[in-house]
Amino acid sequence: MELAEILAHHPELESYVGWTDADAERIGLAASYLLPYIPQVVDDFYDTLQRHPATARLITGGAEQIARLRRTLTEWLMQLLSGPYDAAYVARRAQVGQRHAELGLELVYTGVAMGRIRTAMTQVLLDQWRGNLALRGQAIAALNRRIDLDLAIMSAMYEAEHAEREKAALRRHLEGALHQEKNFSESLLAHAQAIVLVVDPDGRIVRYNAYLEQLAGRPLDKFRGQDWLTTFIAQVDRPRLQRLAEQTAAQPDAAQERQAAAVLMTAEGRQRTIRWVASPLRDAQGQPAGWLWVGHDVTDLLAAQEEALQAQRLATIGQVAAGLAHEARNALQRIQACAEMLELEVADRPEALDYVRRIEHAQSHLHQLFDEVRSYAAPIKLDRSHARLASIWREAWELLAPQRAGRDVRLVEHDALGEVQLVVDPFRLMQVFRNILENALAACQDPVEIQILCHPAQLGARRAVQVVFRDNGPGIPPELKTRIFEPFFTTKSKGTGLGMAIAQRLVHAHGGTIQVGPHTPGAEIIVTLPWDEPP
Amino acid sequence: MNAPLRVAVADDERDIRQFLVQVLKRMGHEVVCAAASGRELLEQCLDHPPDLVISDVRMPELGGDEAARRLRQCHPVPVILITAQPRDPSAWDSVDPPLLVLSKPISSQDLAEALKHVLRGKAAADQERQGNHALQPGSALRHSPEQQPFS
Repeated sequence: MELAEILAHHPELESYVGWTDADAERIGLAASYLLPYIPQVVDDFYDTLQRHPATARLITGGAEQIARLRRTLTEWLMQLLSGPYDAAYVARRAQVGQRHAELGLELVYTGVAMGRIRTAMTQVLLDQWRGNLALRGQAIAALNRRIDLDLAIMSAMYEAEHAEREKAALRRHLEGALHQEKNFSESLLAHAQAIVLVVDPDGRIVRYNAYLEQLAGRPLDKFRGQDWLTTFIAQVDRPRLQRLAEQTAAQPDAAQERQAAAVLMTAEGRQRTIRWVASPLRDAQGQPAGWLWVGHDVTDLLAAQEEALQAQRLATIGQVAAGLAHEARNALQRIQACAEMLELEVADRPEALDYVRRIEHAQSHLHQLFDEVRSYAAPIKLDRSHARLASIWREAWELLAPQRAGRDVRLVEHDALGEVQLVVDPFRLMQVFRNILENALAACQDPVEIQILCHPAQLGARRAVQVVFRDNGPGIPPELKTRIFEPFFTTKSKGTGLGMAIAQRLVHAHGGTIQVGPHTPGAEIIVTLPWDEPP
Repeated sequence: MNAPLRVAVADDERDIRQFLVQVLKRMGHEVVCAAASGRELLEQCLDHPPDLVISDVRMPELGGDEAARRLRQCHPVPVILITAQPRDPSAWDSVDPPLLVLSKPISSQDLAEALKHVLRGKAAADQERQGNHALQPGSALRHSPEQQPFS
């Protein structure tokens, strides 16, 4: 209860105990008997107070405090006896009550202390009253009423103080719980192995978690307030996520069932495929407050799925190739046999001989195709040994002598590391280099210049060597940059379309990567191989 | 050119058989048997062993590898097997060397190269008077029968 309330409430209490203005006069009458006894009442009060542990503990300031308290009590008794019993009086009583409550004096001791004062004063009046005994009775009753009212005021202040304390305790409790809850949420955000991103209704970044910071290599502090789609999402995928948000806004209940995959662009230029779920956020008033985007990185999952699918495809091709092997080889042998015999028969007829040679050529091409399909699909077992990279590509170049015959072709080596030894399967790696060089020879017009660069690189966290092949041909159109590694893809009129697919399988078997590089003009193929062994 | 050899060939495919006969004759050798199966090869060669056998592997009745194995239990004849079925090298362990395994399709040049190797090995074996001495090219091939070292 506030002081104002106590003041407002006070007339009702006065009427309850039957307090009247006459009572004030009656106390005035009693005062002349009581004033000389005030020091005695005060002595008795503090003697009692010091005898009882519950009250004595409040005296921590020794004699000095006692002296001060005695003055206060004396003043208090003077006011009790002299009035006026106005608002200021009530306010002073309230203040005393509040002080007692703050000090931690139990209410019950305020009650008994007042009782002691009441008894002492009543006794003085009973002993000392001279004159009309009826007036004495009225004076004692008036004094009691006043003391009851004072006690009521102080009790009210106790109640108010108590309520205040409970409120404070509750607030502390709630703040603690809130703090705990906040810590819990923060720790969830910090440790979640998923992207948690909050944007405002315009798509501007409000916050995101440490997982996204690390995955994208973009600290929140630098990107807060920026458009999240342009910050993180590959351009082609942005409309898909906008559509997802629109659909989810139209039907928010089904938010969890709606997902969309989109490529996340990292600061280092890596791409991660993320499966996104959008949930609309609302503020306390139910107004749209933005979006919560939760994303799971499914790059590795998709890669594993793709790998499994590829393995299955290869196994199927392998089965078909094996099934065809016997009959196909017999048929090829028969063509070979008959063509050679026919060649002898028509040895004197150049035109017929030319046809036979063409048959033999076709037979040889079919044979090559057959072997390539088989070697593409066959499981790769590497036979590793220490080998010099430069020796391997030089050998591949030597093997292409027939393709180079009669052409204006130059191989330029810039090999900072060509003499380095890697633990590889030299025969398989030679196949890789030969396929790359063969493609370059087929694609380029004379004069052909093929450059080989070899330098240190990184393969994830591993040390690696990069072998870069550049030619001066027409180059590879951007849309074909990944397709050239697909089996049976070819831009040449001849060829099986397996050369680069085989090269990719062999490089992957070595734990490396092969890709089309950005260098233009001409084509650039970059082979990156792990370099684990010390040189 | 070395002395003419007495060669036995076997293949169930007429075209290939004819081709082998023709190529060998052109090289100056004598074809003493042109069999269409392993059984036929054995029948014709057991009593009159040739200097060299060139045989397909998979044939009706009796395969070339098994025919060669049985023949070589009696006579230390060098053998060239021609196969359309590249297999694990250990599959040829049932046939003792000297032995060469070629993968189809083969040309006349392939055959000429193979003959040179076999003859060189035979000469070495004769010198040591030891019929089961391994031929170098043959043993190299046994580790990778799917490759064609002669092409």
